[in-house]
Amino acid sequence: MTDLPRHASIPHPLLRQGLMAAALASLLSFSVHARSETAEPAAEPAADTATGQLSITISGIKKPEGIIAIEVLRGEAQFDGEGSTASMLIPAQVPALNVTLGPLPAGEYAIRVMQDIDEDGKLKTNMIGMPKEPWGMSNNATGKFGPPTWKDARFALGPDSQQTIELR
Amino acid sequence: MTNRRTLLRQFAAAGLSLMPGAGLARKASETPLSPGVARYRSFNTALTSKPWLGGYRSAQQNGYTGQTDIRGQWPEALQGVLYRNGPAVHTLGQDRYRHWFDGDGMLQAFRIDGRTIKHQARIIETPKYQAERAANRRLFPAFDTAPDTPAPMGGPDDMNPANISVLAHNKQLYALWEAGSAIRMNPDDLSTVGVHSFSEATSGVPFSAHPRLDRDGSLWNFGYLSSAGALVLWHLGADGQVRDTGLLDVGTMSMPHDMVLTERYIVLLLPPYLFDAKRGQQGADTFLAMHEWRPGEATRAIVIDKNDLSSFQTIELPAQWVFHYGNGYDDGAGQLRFHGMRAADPSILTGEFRSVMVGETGPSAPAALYEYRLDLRRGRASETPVLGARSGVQAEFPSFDSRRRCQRYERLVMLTADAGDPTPHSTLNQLSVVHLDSGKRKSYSYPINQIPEEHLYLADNEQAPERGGWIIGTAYDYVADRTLLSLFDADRVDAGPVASAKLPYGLPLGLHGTFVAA
Repeated sequence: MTDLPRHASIPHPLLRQGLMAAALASLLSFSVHARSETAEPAAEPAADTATGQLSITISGIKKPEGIIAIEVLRGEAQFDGEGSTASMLIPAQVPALNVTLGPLPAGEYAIRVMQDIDEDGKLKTNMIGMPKEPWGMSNNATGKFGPPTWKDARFALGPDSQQTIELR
Repeated sequence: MTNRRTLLRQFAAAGLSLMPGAGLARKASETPLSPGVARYRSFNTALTSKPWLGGYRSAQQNGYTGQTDIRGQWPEALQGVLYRNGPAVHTLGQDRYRHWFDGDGMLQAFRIDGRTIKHQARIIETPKYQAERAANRRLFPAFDTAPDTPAPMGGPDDMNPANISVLAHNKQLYALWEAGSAIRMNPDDLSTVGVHSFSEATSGVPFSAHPRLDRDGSLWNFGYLSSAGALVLWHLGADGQVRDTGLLDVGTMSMPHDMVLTERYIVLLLPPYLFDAKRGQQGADTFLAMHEWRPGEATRAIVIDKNDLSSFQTIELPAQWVFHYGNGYDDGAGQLRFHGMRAADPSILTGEFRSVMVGETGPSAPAALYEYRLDLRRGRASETPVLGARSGVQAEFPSFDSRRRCQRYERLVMLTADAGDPTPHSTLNQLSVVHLDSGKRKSYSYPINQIPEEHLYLADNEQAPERGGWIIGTAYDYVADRTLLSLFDADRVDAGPVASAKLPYGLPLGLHGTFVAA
């Protein structure tokens, strides 16, 4: 028997703490202090000081309901569930919205997005963990015959990186 | 590093069982002829010299409606509807699929009042088919064809063609695939109601094409999650409500098609034809191609107690391939017994079923009728050919008296072919009733111009189980280009059909059906 939870959640602590205002205020200029990380050091450029801007467009928002939750994940460890570099909560608007983040430390990132329509702080899933609310990933990764992997979703952050993610 | 637990967690976070994606996009071909158009042309060329290929043509987009008189002695008491399903839309525009199992499903109804047959067939309006027909091109990955430019996918139901079987349960009708939801159909006009959810927690969970009815009217089924190596188990009450579900981590996943039900257990065989994510990096571009045949590995019989869907016992058998099972039962002496159609390997999936799409015959390991015995206490299995080890009799599409389900039984209906009796179309050409204890069989050989499809045993409720009864089934007459329906006396199948009816048109060869008595 697996240890698969009945309801898996994308962690977005801001929502859990009820700090909607803080999340909204931080949207336009979301400064992030990188934590020291152990994962994937080889994938990062040598210069510790290199930084980049990340512009994210979320498209395919069909209903102006609930919250768009965005997680920016640095390295495979965060992708596998160990925290996040940034998480944002934005009231859903049709059909798309944009956010810009930065400066972010250089490195490899992935982005995970969901629309929390019922605002319960969780990605609603069925018993096998398949999303029942709109979701998306960087590179619009859908995975190959399975969940999207770090390899599918990762991208290297340049000086001006852009990601357009279509919810599905 | 990704271990199993991580994989399952990712799966829980964002996972889908069967979700090929943008990574599959092919580079635009330099040559103007796409593989799908090349297949379309090859097939049409071959069709002019091999009329039996008529059974693999694509269905008419607007379906079929026809009526015909029954010839012969149709029993007064036998009235109802035979529903059938199978892949039918093989070609969109001039883009022909690579595999027989790729095509969009078509639901058929043969409405029988004893004198006439009213036939209707409609393409199942899955979200996939609607989107692809609107775009006039293939958008989503099929079982074994990758589209040139795939559309974004949200889940397996985006590619669900509902093309394998049809289930009647709790007065509802469902078209079934293997890796997605049941598609609810209107039994009266065959219109598509939509993707069905049995409950919120099970919404979108794979519901396979061979659910088994239990003696209390409840229904068991499974689904499989290839990348997670997990089996889902379903138990629906006779009222269609979800009674119980289970999720089993079996490590690596095969492509199980059918299941066995006994009084106390569920059995699934997992042949060593295994989903391997690494094949994706080695160029595998379809779900079928992600599977690797490993003849040196065991076939795992997964045995689950119906009262505890959270654990299972594994018993190993030699490498083999099985699509379908007969009945199963606990024999009272500590053994669990069932029958299956056993092939040496799954080469039919990559051989024959791809070849027919371009108008060829291809390699396939023939299937034969075997009895399996599982000794749960000792953890041992045995298997015996029922029709003799060297008879060479091929067999598929088993059917039995439903009143014997989960109990010892003696009679199994199936399609067969004798060794050394090749037909041009290389499919089975006989209807047989096999007495399982003696291995004796009675057979009817269809004329060489007729390709029989699945036949179903219909019990005569006026008689004791496995006494009397009828067998109903369709066949494609490729010389006349007509599909016919035949009825046999189950006691005297060798006497040929007691009644038959010929439709005014030929239909694509299908897979599985169910009979709903009036």
